[in-house]
Amino acid sequence: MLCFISCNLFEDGITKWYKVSEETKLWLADSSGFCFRMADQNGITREYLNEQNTHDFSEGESFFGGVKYRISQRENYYQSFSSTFNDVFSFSLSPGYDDGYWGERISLSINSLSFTYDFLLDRLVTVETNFNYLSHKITSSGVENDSLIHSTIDFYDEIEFNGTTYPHVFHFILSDFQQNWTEYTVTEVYYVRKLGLLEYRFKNGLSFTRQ
Amino acid sequence: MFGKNEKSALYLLLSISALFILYACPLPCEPQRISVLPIPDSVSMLIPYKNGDTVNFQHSGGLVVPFVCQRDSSAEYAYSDWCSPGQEYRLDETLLIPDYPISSVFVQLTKYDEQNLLFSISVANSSTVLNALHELSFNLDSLKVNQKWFYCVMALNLSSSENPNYPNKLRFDSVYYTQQNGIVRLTMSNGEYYDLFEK
Repeated sequence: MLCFISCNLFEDGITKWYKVSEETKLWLADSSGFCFRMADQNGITREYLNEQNTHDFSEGESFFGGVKYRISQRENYYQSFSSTFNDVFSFSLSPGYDDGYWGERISLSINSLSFTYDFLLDRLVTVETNFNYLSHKITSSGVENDSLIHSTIDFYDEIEFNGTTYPHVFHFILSDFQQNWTEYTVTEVYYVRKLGLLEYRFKNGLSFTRQ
Repeated sequence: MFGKNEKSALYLLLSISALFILYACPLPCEPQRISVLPIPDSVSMLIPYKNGDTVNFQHSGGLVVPFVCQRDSSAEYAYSDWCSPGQEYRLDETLLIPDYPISSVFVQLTKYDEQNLLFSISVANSSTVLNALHELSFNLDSLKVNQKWFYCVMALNLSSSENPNYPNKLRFDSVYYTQQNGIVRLTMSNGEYYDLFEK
């Protein structure tokens, strides 16, 4: 019993908790956005339903000479949706590190497109589409190869769509891997804080807008 | 060395051990198969699509979407247990693949034996399954689609898995089908529909 208590006290003493800030958590879709419909220019409607809405911690352990000296508990938020026509969409949040190398991150994935944005570095740090992948290497001296990713993400205080004004929106534009794009590669995404997915567009110009 | 009771206990223990070993490591056996006759042509004709055909459907908003047909027939085997005979079943599968980001449509005949020959249609999250020998009837009604009358139309409800969180989820709810033309209309729960479009 003494060993059990002392081990737990020991582990509590070396455990570092990394949590997502309240400000960043606002980017998650609230439950009113767990069922939403999008329509394209031809009036074809698809409905997205929430499949997963999880919040957990992933544990990491550091050892020196066989002795555990640090445990990290990193907070994760994950939301995933699937549509009437089997499109898949997910959004996740992860916390930053206290070493200041990188910060809190949002990741979005829709069909074959995925990207991750780092709030501290204020840049896209990964982009993936059609099985092609780019990821910034980050060291203590900063981001290596600054011009690796050409895709962009812009944040707006508000944006107007079909007569409705949406506050706190980001707009992603894919510019990488153009030689591998297909007609149905997702090339643009609009996402609204608390609401979720607002619009996405294919390379062929077809766009899907929230109803 | 052993008394009578000890011997009985030993034999019992050996018998249980032998049974356990036989159960855990069964002797190899030759798999057997129970064959089933092919799907008769008279039933295959329920599906009019031919491999490589293109059929067009017009969405209620006006867009015409071409679907390419892929049709294939095969024999498969189902094994319920080790060394139990494999049950052959016959498949006649048609996939209508759209040139647009919507769902493919799957029309299938599955013959398990002379009495169980199933006809099914699946689209997106919805499907229907009927016994092709007893439940199909093409004498129900006529239907006007895209200014053309279709006769002997079968109307089928499509069902979807229930989700208590989303009782009114968007889904395909019915399909109108003829033996001569296949699917002539697909309707959705929000009023949108796809009609056969013949140029």
